[in-house]
Amino acid sequence: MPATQKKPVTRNLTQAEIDEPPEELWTRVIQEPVGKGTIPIAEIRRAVREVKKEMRDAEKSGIPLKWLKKK
Amino acid sequence: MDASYNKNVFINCPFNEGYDPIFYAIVFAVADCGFTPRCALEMGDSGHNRFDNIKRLIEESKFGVHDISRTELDNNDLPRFNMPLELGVFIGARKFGSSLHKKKKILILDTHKYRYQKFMSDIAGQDIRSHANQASQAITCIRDFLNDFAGQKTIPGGKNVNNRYEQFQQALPGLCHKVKMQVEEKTYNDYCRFVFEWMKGAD
Repeated sequence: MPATQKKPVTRNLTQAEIDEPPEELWTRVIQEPVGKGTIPIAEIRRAVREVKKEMRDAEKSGIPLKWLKKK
Repeated sequence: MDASYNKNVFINCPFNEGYDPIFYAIVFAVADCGFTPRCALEMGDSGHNRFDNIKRLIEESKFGVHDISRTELDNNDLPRFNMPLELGVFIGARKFGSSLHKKKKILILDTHKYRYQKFMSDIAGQDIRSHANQASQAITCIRDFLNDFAGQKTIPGGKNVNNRYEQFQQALPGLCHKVKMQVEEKTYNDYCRFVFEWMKGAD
């Protein structure tokens, strides 16, 4: 491993953590996210909540969403 | 070894626009089946040695999905051989690695099931499946492969996973819009965050 490369931090997980949903595991194992993904996770959670609600509402009302990808 | 090893799925595939529909479908399917997708893109443009990163991912992953469908001649009349190279490292790890690595599981994807015989016949005997360049078929291949290793859980059928993927795809432009991002601007890490949060089922 080159001297400039930081060794990833790893540790053994508990059984409870092993049984966790994979998304929790994923955020733990990716300890060095250095890409452009810097949007706070809370903002993504909010976006998911809003989009799911808007999709449900659109389905009920029959009015298509502007951003909804056409089939 | 970190306990996440048993859930990590190393995705070895081309990274280009033409392959994106299959790539993103595979990432979604792996996550939807309860496993953790791992690929070289998660390191972004970190500047680390790319091949060192790939070897680390292979070391950390019990499963490997290797798509050799883009092993074809480029503009220079030379084949793209990164995918077969990384497949070879994965097979080598299984052969020569510790007892942990000897249990590695491999799925090889190609456009046609027996195309490999023309350029890599020595891999005969591996689990090779055809996605016929169809994202939906790739999803079913991933589901069927991982279902064998899902422990006591049964993963819903390929059609079901495909339906969820279609719904997620419809939502993706809205998700990007909400966080002030164009769909084409999303990185691999952005995409994974969207996928995992979407799957949590928060209403």
